Amino acid sequence: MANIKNLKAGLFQQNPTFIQVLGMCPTLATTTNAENALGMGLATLAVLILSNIVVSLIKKWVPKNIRIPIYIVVIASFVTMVDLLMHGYTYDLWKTLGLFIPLIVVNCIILGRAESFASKNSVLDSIYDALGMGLGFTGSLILLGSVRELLGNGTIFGLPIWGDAMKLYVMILPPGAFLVLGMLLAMFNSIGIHNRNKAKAGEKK
Amino acid sequence: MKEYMKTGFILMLFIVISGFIVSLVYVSAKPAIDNAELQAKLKAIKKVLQDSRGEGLLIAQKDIPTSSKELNSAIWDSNESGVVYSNEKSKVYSPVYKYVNSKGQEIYILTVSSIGFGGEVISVVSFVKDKELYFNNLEVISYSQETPGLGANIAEEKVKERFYPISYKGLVNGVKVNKDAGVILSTPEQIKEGKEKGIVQTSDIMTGATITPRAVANSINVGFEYLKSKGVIQ
Amino acid sequence: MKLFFIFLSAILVNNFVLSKFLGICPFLGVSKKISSASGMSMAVIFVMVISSVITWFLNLLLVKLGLEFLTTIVFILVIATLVQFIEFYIKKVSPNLYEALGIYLPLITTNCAILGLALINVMNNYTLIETIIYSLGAGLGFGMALIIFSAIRERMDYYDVPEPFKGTAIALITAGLLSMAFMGFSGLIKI
Repeated sequence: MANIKNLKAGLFQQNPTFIQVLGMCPTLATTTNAENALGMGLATLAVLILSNIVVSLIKKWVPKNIRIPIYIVVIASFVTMVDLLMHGYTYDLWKTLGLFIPLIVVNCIILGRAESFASKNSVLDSIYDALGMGLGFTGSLILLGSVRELLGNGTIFGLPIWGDAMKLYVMILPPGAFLVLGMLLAMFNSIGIHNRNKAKAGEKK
Repeated sequence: MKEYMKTGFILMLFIVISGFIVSLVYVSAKPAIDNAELQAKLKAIKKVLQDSRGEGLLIAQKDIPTSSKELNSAIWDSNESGVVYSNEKSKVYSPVYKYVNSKGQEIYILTVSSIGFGGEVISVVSFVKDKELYFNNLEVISYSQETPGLGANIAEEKVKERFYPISYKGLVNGVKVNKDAGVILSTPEQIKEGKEKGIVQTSDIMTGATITPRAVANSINVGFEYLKSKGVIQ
Repeated sequence: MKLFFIFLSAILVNNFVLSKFLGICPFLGVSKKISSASGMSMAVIFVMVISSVITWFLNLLLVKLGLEFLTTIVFILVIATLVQFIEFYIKKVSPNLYEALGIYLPLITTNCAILGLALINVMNNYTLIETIIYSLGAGLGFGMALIIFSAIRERMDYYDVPEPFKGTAIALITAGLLSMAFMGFSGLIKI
């Protein structure tokens, strides 16, 4: 039961993108279309799971004062591995994501989960936590990527939705990333506020 | 002091272990990486060996390189530094390949780059020396820092098509995108005529993007300059 | 001339924050007050220039040893260590400077702009001088965007922002408008 809770926390209540607002650089930069967003999300998910497992495994042997450098080494190693494997086996995707694969190292979500969850919990719990957070991140990226691709190019995952009928180029350009994310964030906030008000009203009754 | 030594030692240990594991992954992934790079290159070369003035391929199907050995046998010019020619805007990378087909046409294949919107735009291009030299075909292989949906559309076939073939006269004039030439070519005949003069119409299919096609035009120009410097053109 | 172009394009055209999306975390996190924004900018410029010079030499070494695949690991470790050293050093030499920059330095390790810059320098095969100029430009560009943004956010506190937009949402939309303004620079440099 606790596991499901961990999983759900990452997906919804503690969604890394929309609630915690972490890992913004790859979120904004790689969501020009849904496919890139998916690729980036999965790469991050892989690194997150692996690093959470290892951090949780080695937690006994890590001296407190140098834990951060050690976590960074662990994360950087996994990122390099993912980078190498993507270079070999998914060449085209590797080319488009470019610089942002090595930059997974400094994605605050990964270091944050290592520090605040994996270093204190069992391996199994850490895996569920990583899955929840990673999928939450991937989901948010896909949502953002789809909206931007739809508004900017009239397609989602390359499939035409309304084709050439409306194309707001600005949405694929850098400003669009900020604008769409800001709007989505406001939308989720207003849903949150709505729910809270409802809960309050329920209490009064 | 002893504490410091101990933590230092532990950190070292972690670094060494992870370095070792990464190296293992590297060694096992290296063949796949090399292969992926090679396949991408071979695909680009096959693309530029397509005859843009006629039908089909410029050289016989069996001569199309399929391995690095076959590719290396076609090297015409190369050097240690990796760049065989450069001007202030663009570069020609080593190696340069040359094929001669049954009709006696000389085909030069160059890897050229120029600075685009965010970084280098690298293309593989082919020039054919018939009676006169002309620019035959183009494949853009690296444009990852161009804006998606705008500059990155350069990889679309309908955009690349606008760049070839360009006749000798056009190359001598210098290849320009239509915006820099100050004209708009709308009918297919006009677009074709433009290529004779070295004017490439891109503004209609690459709305809003000028820097990336300009980079490609510059790459073609540097390739021509390079061939001139090598005495291919008198 | 080329150096000048590199410099100008790093500040305005390819601004790290607004068009390359590097260093968004401090951009959103430390932009509530102008004073902290300028402190952060100074620290970033400082670390950027030093770290990219060091990583430039390190890259030469790695290429010579044929260990390019270790670039990411080596760079991030060096940056983390470097930031620690700078912190110690500043603390010792100039307590005033430490007071101004001190709290921002630890945050810099996880600032992707620093690692991103080091990797971009390698990708673009810059020479040492080009690296220094580019890093300076990137740092100044980051600082400029951050300070402009924080000035806007300081004023925003006085306005009645709709409830759901409060906080990060309106900040992102503001950043979007700022980024749009910076796009106007894209025609500035003809290459």
